[in-house]
Amino acid sequence: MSILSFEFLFFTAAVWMVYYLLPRRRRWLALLLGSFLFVSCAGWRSVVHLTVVAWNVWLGGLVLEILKRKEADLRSTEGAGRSVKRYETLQKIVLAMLLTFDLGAMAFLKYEPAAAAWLNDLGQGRWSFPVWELAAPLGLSYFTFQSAGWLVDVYRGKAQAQKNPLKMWLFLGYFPQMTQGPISAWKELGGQLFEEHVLEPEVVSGGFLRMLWGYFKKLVIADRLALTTAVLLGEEGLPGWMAVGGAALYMVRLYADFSGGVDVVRGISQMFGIVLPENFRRPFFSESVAEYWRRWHRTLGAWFRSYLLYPFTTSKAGLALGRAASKVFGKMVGRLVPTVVGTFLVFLLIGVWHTANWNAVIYGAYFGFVMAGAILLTPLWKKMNRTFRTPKGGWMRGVRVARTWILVLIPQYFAFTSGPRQGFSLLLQSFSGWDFSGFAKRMTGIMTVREWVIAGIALLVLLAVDVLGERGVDVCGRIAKARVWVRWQVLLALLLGILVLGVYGPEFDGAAFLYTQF
Amino acid sequence: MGEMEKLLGVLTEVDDEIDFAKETALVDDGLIDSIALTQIIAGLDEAFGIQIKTGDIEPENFNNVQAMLEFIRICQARP
Repeated sequence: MSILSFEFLFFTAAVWMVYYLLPRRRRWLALLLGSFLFVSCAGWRSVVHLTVVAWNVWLGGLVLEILKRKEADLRSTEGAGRSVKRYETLQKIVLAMLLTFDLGAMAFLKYEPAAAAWLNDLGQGRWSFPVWELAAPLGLSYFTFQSAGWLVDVYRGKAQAQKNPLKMWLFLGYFPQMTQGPISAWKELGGQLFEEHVLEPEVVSGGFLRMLWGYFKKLVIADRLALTTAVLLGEEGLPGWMAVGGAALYMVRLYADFSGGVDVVRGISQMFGIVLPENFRRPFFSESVAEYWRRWHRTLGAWFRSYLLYPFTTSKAGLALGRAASKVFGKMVGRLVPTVVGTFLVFLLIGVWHTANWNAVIYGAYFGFVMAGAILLTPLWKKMNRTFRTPKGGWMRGVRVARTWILVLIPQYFAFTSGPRQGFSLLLQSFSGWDFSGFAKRMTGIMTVREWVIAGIALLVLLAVDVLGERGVDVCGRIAKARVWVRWQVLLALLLGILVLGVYGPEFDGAAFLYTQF
Repeated sequence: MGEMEKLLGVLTEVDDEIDFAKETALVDDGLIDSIALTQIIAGLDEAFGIQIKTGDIEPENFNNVQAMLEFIRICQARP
């Protein structure tokens, strides 16, 4: 069930009504049932996979907690040093096994076909591995990451094991976030799901507004701009400005698509009184690539930082690497080395997380390289800024934002193309043939003037909302609290805007969200 | 040398532009990022000889010098 379909809206409305009709203590059961139905719509494979993962994680959590308790008991008795060690090791083994199973299942489904095809290609008929193109379960990587994170949290003593397996299931399968995240930690979502929420009109209407705003971004902006990406892929020998413009519009489109989808998800969740973590914080205002990644797909970045980067950089091996590097490069740079290595690997993984192809490797390696370079150059930047007394704000801020745009634009060429060759050739094309003679004809060849005007106005609205957001004004929240006639005016305008200006597919079912496939 | 001076020594080694003694929300305000944090942890490991677990890397442990001192004490008390 696409979250852009009318069925989905009816479905959500039904769950919402049952939710608030039930006694407060039982409200989570409506979410459980709704989530079960939602996942079922994606086929039995999805239900089975999610249920197996939830069951494993639930059981694993209980085992980890028992081991933890034993360890704590032993600690309080004298001279039990060796048994304590044994329990620590046991916990590590249990965690490793659970994570291998959990992440392994995802890796297998995602990468087996590509890996097998690649190996078969390499063998040129000398061997043949079966290629299992199994349909990925709904929300595979979102619930896999979330479950793995939860296990580590239990291991670290940051989350409590759950007695009720159904609660575990709901935490992983909560239907709003099944289509495109966010990836929530237990402390962000776990408690809220089972709290007794009271119907608060202001919160609900704020959520409704956020949902509409998400649909606006997706249907009016992102789906309209889809045509501009199609042109890039369909025609060869485009003038340079079209290649650059198309790539830039792709970047904007991806933002409208993904952040719009997450707004829909967060808005719906808010109507149940449950606040999901923010996934986007206006990334195109970032002054550095590092900042961009703190604002773009925040929950994915946080996951990798918390469960991969820090464990590596602060491990014995990571610290030893830092000490060894300090002897060669000095303390300042040496201590950065573990972070540099870790960051590069994390971005490579983030790239490959998207898809199993060489373009994803290039995308990840590019960001890894840029970020690693930026970290190594930090001391130098600081020195330069001090020597030249570069101002922090003002025009320098504009320069830094522009620099971020350029650095982030380059890898996009590998995000929308299907192979490295196509990506590189479009990138090269961007530097040649800046001939504006056929500008008008070219532009109207993509879409009509009316469509361009609508896209332009919609983008200006998006820009205005984001500029206000940068100044700390939460537009949706502000309007939800405004007087009745203001609130309804905005709501109706937005609804009308979506209905009239939205781009709808032939089946009256918008184009799929780009991030649903992961 | 007191614990506080030792800690401030580690911190200024990482970044000498921040007034660590005065700031109260170093992590939450974005004054120290994940890179600086890793450097700080490496510094604490050397200066205080404490073993930091990954689960300890939470904003509330690093938001200000008082919190960091408290955190160092907890780590030192840990077997």
